Amino acid sequence: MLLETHARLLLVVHALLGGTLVALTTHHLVWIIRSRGTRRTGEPRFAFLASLFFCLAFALGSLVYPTYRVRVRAELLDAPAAIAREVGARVTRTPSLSPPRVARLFDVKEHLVALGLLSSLALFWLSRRTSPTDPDARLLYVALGTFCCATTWCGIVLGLYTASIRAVGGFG
Amino acid sequence: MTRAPTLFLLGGALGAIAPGWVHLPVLLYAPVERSVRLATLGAPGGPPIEITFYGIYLCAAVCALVLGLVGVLWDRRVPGASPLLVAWALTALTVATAYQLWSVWP
Repeated sequence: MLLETHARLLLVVHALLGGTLVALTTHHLVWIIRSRGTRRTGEPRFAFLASLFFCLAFALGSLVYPTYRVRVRAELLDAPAAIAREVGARVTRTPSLSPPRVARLFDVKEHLVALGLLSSLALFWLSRRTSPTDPDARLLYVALGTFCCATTWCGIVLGLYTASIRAVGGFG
Repeated sequence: MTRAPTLFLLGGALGAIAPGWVHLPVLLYAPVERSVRLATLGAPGGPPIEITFYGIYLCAAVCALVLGLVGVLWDRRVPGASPLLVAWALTALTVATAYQLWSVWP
């Protein structure tokens, strides 16, 4: 399978990039909202950095994805026999989402961050052509900044939830 | 001057839902066999092992680039803003998000 031997390293780097991305998009959104009379000087730089880190995190996530799809999703989350063995091996049962529902939750993350990447690139392009102080562009600016920020937060929360489900969550 | 990024967003949002909604064929990647084939999407969320995700967002990227290019040409010919286009783009993004969430919600 593609890059399976490096999957853990890639996953750790992907998580670090995701954490940085959350900080960047949140900071960028705050600066967009605060840019009312005059544009914040660093605002276009944040638009660039956010889209760059979005691209990097997305690319790394896509590289790890085949390993997740086979080793985690197909062999564990969507496999009733594997779930039964896992539940049987636990001393106590922790209430949590069922594994197939966790897999679907991860699908939600995939689609949200893909649309977030699209919005981030559109926002970067917008930042090169106009500013958040422009009345004609402000609605689009604020909407895209908010969407990017929301998708990165959802991405990191759902990603960590899925990654920890077997380690500290347990199957209900 | 905002038509190009707005149309880029509109194209990407529509391109993301087109394969599922109008049954456009997309690339499916089989990770174990490391092979790619062209097929229409099946049940929501796709088949268990074959990865539909890359194909869907490749379609979105192509649509975004094509409409973004149209926006660049439009901006050059007729400079100015199009508030209605912004509304369409934001609506398309909302619809695409809702459609994808509806398709895969647990």
